[in-house]
Amino acid sequence: MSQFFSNITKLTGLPFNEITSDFKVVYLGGGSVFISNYVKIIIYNTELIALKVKANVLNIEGKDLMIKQLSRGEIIVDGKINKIYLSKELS
Amino acid sequence: MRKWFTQSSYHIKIEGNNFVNFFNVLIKNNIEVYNVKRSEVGVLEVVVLQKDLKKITTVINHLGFSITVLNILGFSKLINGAKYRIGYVVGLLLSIILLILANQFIFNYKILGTENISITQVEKCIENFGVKKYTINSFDVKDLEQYLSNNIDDISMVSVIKKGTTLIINIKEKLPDVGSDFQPITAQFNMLITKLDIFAGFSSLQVGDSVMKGDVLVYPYVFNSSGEIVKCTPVADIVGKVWFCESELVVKKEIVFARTGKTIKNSFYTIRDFVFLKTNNKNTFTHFEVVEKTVLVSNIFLPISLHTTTYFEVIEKTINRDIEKEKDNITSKLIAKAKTQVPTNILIENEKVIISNYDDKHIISVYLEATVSF
Repeated sequence: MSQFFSNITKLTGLPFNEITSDFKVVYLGGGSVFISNYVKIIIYNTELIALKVKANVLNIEGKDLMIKQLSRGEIIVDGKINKIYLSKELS
Repeated sequence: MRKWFTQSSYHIKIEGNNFVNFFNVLIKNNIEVYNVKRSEVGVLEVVVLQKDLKKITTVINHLGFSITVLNILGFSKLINGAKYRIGYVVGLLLSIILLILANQFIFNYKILGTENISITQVEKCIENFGVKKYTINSFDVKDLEQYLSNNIDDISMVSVIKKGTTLIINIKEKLPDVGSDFQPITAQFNMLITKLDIFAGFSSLQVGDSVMKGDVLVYPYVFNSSGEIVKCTPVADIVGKVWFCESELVVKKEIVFARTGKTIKNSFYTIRDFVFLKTNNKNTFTHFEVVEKTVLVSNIFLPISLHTTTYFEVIEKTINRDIEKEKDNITSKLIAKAKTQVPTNILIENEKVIISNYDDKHIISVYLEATVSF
């Protein structure tokens, strides 16, 4: 299946994650992280923000975390980010 | 620029519980929020665009949250502010209009670069063009420049600039007309005239007169029978004696200071104004010379300089000079020096050496005599 999508991305020139609806995490530096194609927010507090991404959970741990921008499919989290990791279930 | 600032947006406060649910409802309804901040437990502050405010209010009411608008941000705030401060807006507009109007006036002329042209002549010309003080003037500076150069003969170049309410006119005058055909004959050296035969031109000099370099020997004009000046090219046969001289003062008893070889050194390093590793040796010499030196030791990261001050001990020595022994040597030196002043096409006819005595001094003078003709 992944070979099929890979061929499509080559043909169309579109990013792989856009076609497959896979999430993308970009650490922007200066304490910001951009996540696209997330499904929903599971946990929100100043120490942890957990997002459901496909079958996994993306955890962002840190201090004074805040949501800089929130829209459908895109979120920017700001603050002193210590750890970004994936887990099958909630940590 | 940020979307929430360029567009009109609202800073709102939401009170309730389970904000995760609230976020997911926002995502579901495609509502964008910015700067989400949890100010205290059960209170969330967010910025939302004006177009999403109604949507968010409807959604929140269903969830049982309460909403309060704290502030209006972006351009709508400016517009709202202007609505309630109409006096300020009118004042601002009036100030702008007045500023534009004031710039149309001319209160002052600044005329620069005039020597022979009178300022009143320039001012009159400007007024004739149609630019008047204390009135609104609209004109093209290029046209005024053209008008001035056409109407004032002595102008070689003119530039006009309008700076605020001042009109700056920069004038470059024409150079005075120097007729190249009628140049006077001038003396090339300080000399004594020995022969003066004038064929054309006028001169008040006579044989035996001394003239300085640059003095006019023959003027480029003659007087006709009615006493009027008639210009002409001066022609004359002029011969004169020229002396090229050099002299030196020789003191019989001369006091010189000689170094004994003893030194005292002080040094310190600097990084810009910061001084370090400074030595402070006391100078105990009664007679001394001081030599100060600064060397750039390194300029890789910071400029490190080494400053040294060296005191050389000196003693007083009296030297008795014998003029008879030194005379020949000094004379030949002075002759060589004087010869450097003589142009290559002039032959030296005579050399004279004069030694004058004054108390404990001798003055040795060398004169090289030559004849020049024009």
